Amino acid sequence: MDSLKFHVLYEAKYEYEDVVTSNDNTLKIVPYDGDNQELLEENVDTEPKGYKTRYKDMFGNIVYRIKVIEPHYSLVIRSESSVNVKLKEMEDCMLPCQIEDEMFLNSSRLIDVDYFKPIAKELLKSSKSLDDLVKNTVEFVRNRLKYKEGITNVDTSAKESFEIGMGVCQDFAQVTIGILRASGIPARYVMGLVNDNPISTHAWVEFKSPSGWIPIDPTRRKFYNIAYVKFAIGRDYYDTPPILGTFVSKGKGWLKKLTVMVRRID
Amino acid sequence: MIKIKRTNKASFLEYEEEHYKTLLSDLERIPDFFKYVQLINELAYREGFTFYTGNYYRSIKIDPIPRILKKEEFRKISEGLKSRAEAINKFLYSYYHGDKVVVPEDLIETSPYFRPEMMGFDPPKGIYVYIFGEDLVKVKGIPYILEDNVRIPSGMSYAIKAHELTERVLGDKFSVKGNEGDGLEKLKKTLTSASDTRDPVIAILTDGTLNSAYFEHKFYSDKLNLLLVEPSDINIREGEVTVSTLEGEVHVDVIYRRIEDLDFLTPGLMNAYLRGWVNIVNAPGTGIADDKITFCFMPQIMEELGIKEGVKQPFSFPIGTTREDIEEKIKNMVVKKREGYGGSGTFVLHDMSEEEKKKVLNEVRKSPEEFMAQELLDFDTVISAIGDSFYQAYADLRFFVFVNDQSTSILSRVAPVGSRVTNNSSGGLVKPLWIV
Amino acid sequence: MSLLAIDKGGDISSIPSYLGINEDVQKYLINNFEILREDVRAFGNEKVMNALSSLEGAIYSSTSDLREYFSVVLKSTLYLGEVIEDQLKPVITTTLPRKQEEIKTQ
Repeated sequence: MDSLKFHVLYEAKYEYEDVVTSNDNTLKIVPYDGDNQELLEENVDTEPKGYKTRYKDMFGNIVYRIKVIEPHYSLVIRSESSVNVKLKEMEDCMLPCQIEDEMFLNSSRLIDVDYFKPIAKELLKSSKSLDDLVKNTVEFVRNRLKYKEGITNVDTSAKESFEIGMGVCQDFAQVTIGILRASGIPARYVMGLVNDNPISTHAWVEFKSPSGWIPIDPTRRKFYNIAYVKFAIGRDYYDTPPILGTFVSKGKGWLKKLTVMVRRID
Repeated sequence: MIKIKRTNKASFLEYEEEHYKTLLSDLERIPDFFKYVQLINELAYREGFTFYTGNYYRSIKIDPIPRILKKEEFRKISEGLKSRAEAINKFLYSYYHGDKVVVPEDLIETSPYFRPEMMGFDPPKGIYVYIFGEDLVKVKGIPYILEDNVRIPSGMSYAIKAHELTERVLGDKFSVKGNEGDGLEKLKKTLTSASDTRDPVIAILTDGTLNSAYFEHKFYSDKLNLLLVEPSDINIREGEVTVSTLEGEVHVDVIYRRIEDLDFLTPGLMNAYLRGWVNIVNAPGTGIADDKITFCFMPQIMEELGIKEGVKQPFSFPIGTTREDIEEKIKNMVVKKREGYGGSGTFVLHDMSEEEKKKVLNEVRKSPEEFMAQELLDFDTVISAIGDSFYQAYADLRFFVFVNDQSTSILSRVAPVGSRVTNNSSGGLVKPLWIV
Repeated sequence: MSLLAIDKGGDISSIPSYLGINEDVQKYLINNFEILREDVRAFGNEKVMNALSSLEGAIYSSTSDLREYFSVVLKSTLYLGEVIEDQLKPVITTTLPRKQEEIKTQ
């Protein structure tokens, strides 16, 4: 089993037009520690400093909560870590594969599994093995969805983006998950960084095979030995935003700069 | 015998008990009883006894047939609530000092009421909650706790006002005598004890007349001679907090907060609190203790802290990860959404149609971590004067505890006929309660 | 309240106890007005003081026609309330909590 070691950097800088008196953020910007990843070092902080707590959520994601109550006009959120990412072999099986899972077969807030049942039925007809099904699904999604920014947003459901026919990586991932779940294959949403010069966070999919959770990237058409660095997993986007918070101010704020970096270090 | 419109013959009717005999015969002897009920409610509305719903001021209906609690019952419940209050303050102190008691940290820290800035902070005298609102029901006379309220428990003024109006209009017609209880006195004492200064300046922080419980804020301000201030009246100065009054800026020692959103309504106040420039009652961040999910763990928490459970609570558990058999199990329970205000977000599955049930279960399946399930209690019913008839209805009891000291001003809320949901926002009535 | 009672043909003498006052209604109004006037004098501007005078006139007027009496008192009280509110309106600052997130573009 191959294993790659990465040094990871994530830094977001926010600026505000008026003074901010309270800035409370929930962060999922540390590589996942578990499954095929082993977290070696982590360091999360903000400038200005705030009140910081850390916990693992119901999916095992490492979550930081940082609240800054000292008045400020800008906020930098920074995470520096190193992680070992193992590549897993995808063990194929003949359909129906009877793979159990308590959580990742159900509909979630952004993914309505029932809606994708007719599509799943068709794809199952032309798929003999799990590998067939996964590849056919991704092919199907890439034919029906065009990559285009600015049409959908974070609250767009899988059904909506599918009907619109356009979206970004979040939508590609959610539609793929919708179809896989409807076909009886547990699938989960993954947020993190690609390992070849990422410029922002990316969303992809992991499905459950007889050998465990295996990654696929429908947006970039990549399968199985991907070795991306995952930060968080969940049922859909709502479980994985890298930064989600509220700030209190008389004026507006915006993300001025996002710096991400993934560097091999072995 | 007075005629009662019954809604559920099987439910236990408290008023059939021995200690209600005198009261019931009083009711029989009062001619035009419902005219007095109407008068009381007219007076109530005009004296501002209302609840703002977001659109209009709805009058809080008073059902002037008092509920009676025997002295011995009161004493026993008090003991139980005292230990529960102690457990809650200890739990808060432990959690906010890094000692995770029983409840998994991700459940606490995902609560909207968790405040990271309270970690490591020592509130004055180690007390987080000075005023508790404990919701109880009786099942065949045995008390059960349904909910803890430790952020901004309200309703004590309703108990006092309902008593006051009943006394004014019907006082000389009842042979049983009651009183308004010692709530106001205990409240003042408690707020005063929240500061080390002798004769501290206390201000009630309201967000104004559009707050649903504004009546209560004004009531306490009037009766206890406390400053009534809004967020715009608060000034954070170097080393102190002052409030703007008609006589200029006044230094304040204790803020009795009746708002939750301090971050955006009163920027800078949290900072002042953490530096010890002012005390806030109840402390910010106490909401993790009255979270519906935390409630499920209370018996274990009390055991862990070595505190005996005085009053029982119905079996409750967090729904967490969905499993098929859990859905079978919760079919006849009460399902509560973690962030439901008042009575919204409470689903009595037993009383719902198949279609409504399906809808709720679908929501639960999508995000099971947002829900908990609780044993459905067929709690005791009372006789309520509504409109022009006597009805049988479900009613609860809200006790007010002041840092381990139980008050005798107790509120009983009656659910609308046919419902089991007793919260103020659900349009029920309030009854005066007499300890006899 | 008294207006209601009169309209409903009720017995006017029982009103004081229903209202929680232990004396004649007009006396009660006069006493409370005196206190109110002292308080308002401390901060009232001209408009407020004028409204106060109107209320004074209403309270001290003849009680021969009770309905008319209470009607005028009520009107003057409400007017005074409005005028005071206008003078004391708080300055509302628009600080709002706003959502913050990282918007993905890849």
